[in-house]
Amino acid sequence: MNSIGKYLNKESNNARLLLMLLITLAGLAIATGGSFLSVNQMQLVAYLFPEMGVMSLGMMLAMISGGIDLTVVAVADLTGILSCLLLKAMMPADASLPVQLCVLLVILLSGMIMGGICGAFTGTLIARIGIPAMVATLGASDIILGLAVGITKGSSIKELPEILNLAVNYRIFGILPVPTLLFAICAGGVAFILNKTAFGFKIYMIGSNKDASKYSGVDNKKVLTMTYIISGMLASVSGILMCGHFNSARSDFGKSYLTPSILICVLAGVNPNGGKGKVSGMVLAVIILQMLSSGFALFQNISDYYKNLIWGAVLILVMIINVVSERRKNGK
Amino acid sequence: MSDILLEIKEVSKHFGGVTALDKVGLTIRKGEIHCLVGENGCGKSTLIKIISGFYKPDGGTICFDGQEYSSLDIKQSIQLGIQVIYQDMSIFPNLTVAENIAMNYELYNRRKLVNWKNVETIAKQALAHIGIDIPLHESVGSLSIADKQLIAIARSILYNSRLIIMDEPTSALTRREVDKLFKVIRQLQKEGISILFVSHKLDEVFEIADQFTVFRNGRLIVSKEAKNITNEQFVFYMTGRNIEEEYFTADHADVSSSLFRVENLCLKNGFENISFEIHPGEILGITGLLGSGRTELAKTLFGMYTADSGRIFIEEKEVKIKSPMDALKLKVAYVPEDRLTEGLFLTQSIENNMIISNIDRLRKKKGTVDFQRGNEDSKYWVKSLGIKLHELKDGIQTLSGGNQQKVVLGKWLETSPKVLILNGPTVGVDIGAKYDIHNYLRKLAEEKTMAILLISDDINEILMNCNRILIIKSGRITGEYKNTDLDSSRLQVLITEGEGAEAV
Amino acid sequence: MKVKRLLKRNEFYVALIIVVLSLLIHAKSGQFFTANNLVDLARSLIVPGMMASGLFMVIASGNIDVSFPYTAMLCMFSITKLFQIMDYQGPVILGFILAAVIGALLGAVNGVLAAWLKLPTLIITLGTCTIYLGFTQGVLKSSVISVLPAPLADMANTNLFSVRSAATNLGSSMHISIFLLIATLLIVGFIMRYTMLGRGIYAVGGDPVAAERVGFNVKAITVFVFAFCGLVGGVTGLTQVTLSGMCQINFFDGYEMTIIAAVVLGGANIAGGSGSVFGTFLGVLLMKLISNNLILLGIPTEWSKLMTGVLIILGVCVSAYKMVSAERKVTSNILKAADGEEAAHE
Repeated sequence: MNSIGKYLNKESNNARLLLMLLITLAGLAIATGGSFLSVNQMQLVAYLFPEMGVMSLGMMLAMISGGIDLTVVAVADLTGILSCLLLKAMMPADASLPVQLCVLLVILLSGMIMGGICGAFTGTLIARIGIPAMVATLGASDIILGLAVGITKGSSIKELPEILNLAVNYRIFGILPVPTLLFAICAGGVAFILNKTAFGFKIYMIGSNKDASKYSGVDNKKVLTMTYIISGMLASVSGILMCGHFNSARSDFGKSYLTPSILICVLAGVNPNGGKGKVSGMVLAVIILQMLSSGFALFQNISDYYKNLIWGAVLILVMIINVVSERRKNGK
Repeated sequence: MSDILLEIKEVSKHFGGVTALDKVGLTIRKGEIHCLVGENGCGKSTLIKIISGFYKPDGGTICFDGQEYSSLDIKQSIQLGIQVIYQDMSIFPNLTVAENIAMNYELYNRRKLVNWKNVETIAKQALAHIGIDIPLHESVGSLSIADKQLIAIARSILYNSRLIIMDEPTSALTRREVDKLFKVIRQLQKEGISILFVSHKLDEVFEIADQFTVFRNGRLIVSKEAKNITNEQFVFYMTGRNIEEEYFTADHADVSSSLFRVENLCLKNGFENISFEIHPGEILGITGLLGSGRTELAKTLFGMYTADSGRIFIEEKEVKIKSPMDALKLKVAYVPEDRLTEGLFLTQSIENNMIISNIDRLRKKKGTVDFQRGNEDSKYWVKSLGIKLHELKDGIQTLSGGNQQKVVLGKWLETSPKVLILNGPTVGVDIGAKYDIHNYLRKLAEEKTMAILLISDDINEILMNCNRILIIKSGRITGEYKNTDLDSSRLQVLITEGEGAEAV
Repeated sequence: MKVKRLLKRNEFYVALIIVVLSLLIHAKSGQFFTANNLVDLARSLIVPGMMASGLFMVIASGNIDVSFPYTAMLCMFSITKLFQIMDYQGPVILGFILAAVIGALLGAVNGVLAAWLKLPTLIITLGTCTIYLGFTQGVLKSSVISVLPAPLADMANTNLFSVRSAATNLGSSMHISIFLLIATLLIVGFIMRYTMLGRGIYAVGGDPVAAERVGFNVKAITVFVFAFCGLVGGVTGLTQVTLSGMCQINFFDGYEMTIIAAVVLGGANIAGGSGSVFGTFLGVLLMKLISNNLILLGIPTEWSKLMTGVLIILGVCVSAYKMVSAERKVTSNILKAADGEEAAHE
């Protein structure tokens, strides 16, 4: 018991998130007369959150390093489109299931490589040329999205091989959706990088003081470039999931994801000024948001448009709460 | 009417758990030049910020020209005629000289509109007033530190100032410029303006001050007339110790072999033909004014700048240091000048601050970091450097300046360096930690395995701890001396005037 | 001396590029320097030009705002709707005043949050802009209004003059709202150059701590720049209505990026403290010149987004590269100072 108390004290942000999660759950359960807690509903939540979650993981890395990655949406869109084109071109007409799955895996990997290339471009602009992350990712995002628009001429790519949609909707052992598994793998990978490797340690240190890290012999350029490469790879996974979900690809699918992905990071306790943030907080934040979001979906009279309003309001509110609680802590 | 302009009574200020000022007092008369002295971190800056309205005191009163205040705000303080020239000068690099100078005047007069002709006239007058000539349309960012300082002074005397506070205004100036500044100060005094002059240089206090006040660890130690005070008394007031450090002599230095050698190192705009050698058992000191090239030299040796020509040898092997990563690989360590921006990760834990430079060597077989070993290493340095802390996981911000500096030192010692470069290692460090650091450096020197290069503008630090001293002026080495051949006043002269001064 | 100073200015090079590009387009198509093309170009500058001058202030103060297109959108719909419901027949100026007030209030919200939270303003304004968007779509339930209330419709049909090119037989009209652009540019120019407030904005952008020390009210300045940007945003929203004769939710899609790009292209450092309204205007002109004439240059329109991205990156690369290489070099000349002193000796 004592150790739990200690944990909650140390991880006050996670404690707050857990509390929020419980309140959200209880609130939605009461509002829906208990039906929200059904297995079906839970599976819907588990099915929907991964796309946004994977994208937010990349955003989180960039924010911990003291920057921001506004290209995640563009990268997801572009790699989604390119992967779909590739999928259509590569998939043999009457392939057996194992062959189809292999092709899918190749597509996923090639998509990640493309995402990585986009990230390397952004990372180079930031780390080597020295453009502030915000402007660099803003410009890079226009370039990447511009490519996506140019390639598709603004229309959507349809008639994809069925396997993509099937795979994204498949539930392992009938319970665990594939996207959730992918999110778990990505989150685990990012957590490993951040907590166990020298590279992850350096991301935190660069985020808290990039001059001091330079004076400590850290290769800022290499670490930052790598950070954006990983962010790009994660965004591409998210993009492919999106395409599977919608069973098509379009240059504006990801548009509505940008604010929520930043919101998730802020909610998760990632400091927008850099140096702080944990994957555990991130997972909790993603689950809370997705629950809220699918909770709204249950109420027919709340139009989809209100979602935007609520996302924005929650983002501002969380920032205020974080700043106030931080100041109180320092004031002691 | 009394002749007292400013009287501070029992003012206290706390930051978190740290007491910065403990019921201090200060009295300044009209037209007086008052020196406020004390080591870095003694509370001088905090008091200045309270007078200028930047901080609110936790207790006590401020009495200005007969009027009592419990605290001031910035505008109020300016309206009262209090002007502060901060050490960083607080000027705007993106604006022109004329605008920087005229800005205070216009703010003071609560102008809403800018008349550019006026701005120019004001700036011209101000510069003429202190007798200097700087192009008015130059952007300030491109000027030298001394020029910036003069602009800051010109700015502050523009209107009816009653009290001008100068926070260590001479740290970047050559002797000639200091003379010019003192002339300006005396002229201001004649006009009835009071000056609060913050410094830690004794000779300046003797030369310019009517009255002086010493702070130590946030407390008022003494306040009296500047006449009839001896150097020894002064040092005692400032440090609270009578113990003189002994000269470090490096008697058993191994002159035949070399740990670190630099030959004809040049950096464009920075320095020229720098050559020196460090033998086992030595501590080599380099000193010079701010802007003399000493910091540029240190940064070049650590790879922050790339030298244009010249050679560097570590243990007789020629090396190329083009980046801090190279330096780290070649086992060159650098304790930077500005601890807060270049040395510390303020939002991170003490432990993280300790292991950052060594993180690549803490690798386990699987490629993960052995944080357990990092923890043990950190504990070792906490013990051997005597770092006072509660827990390694605490934030680095909870430590005092001295302990923070020991963390930076420990971080580098853990990389087992062959060359240790320290740039102003005891700036803002309390006296106890200062001696600890000095003693540790001497101990390291005696082990004869590490080349130690101490760069500092703290004359006593250099004099006591370096057996050989190089003086750098305007990017060139102007002399090499044994510390036992010098005393502090002679060294001071050598620094500001260079070699030519000896004959004078 | 004067020439030297001119050569140092960023505006000079942007202007140079604009001239060269115009000549190039004209050489290739023969249609650039025709009366109707120039009027069209001027017309297309109105909305982005106004927004950019508002945003320029924010950027000069060292902040960023991505919410102004959404402020414009919200004002556009709320006032058009209000006029519709009231069946308002009075002078159109009331609408602009209302738009200015609402815009300023929405901007002030950004400003207060920015001054108080001290978090990256990109994230703050990203949050508020989502709220404004949600409000417009959800509460106002707006996506398109095709028939305007009379005062707005009247203004939509008010042109200063019309021209027709003899060669192409294409006609264009100069809309009355060009005056709004001119007024905005003049006001922003005046504030930035001739008021203490404007100099305060540069000072805060240069060094906020120093600005506070010399006695500027940094918080008030922060609130002001955001409020002003919101005000301009609101007015611009209504201007767009009168320009296009209708309201549409996607009028300002992607504007936040384009306008930021234009301001940066115009020479304002994204970190604050520099730039001019004239430069900003040139930046907008350059952006529009390229995006309006892509076809004349032989580039299909679907690549226009790519072009803006490339422009932003090229624009900031130059200044960023200068800064980074300056960091790697000793800029204040220590050695030269020595020579100067020696000369003084003699």
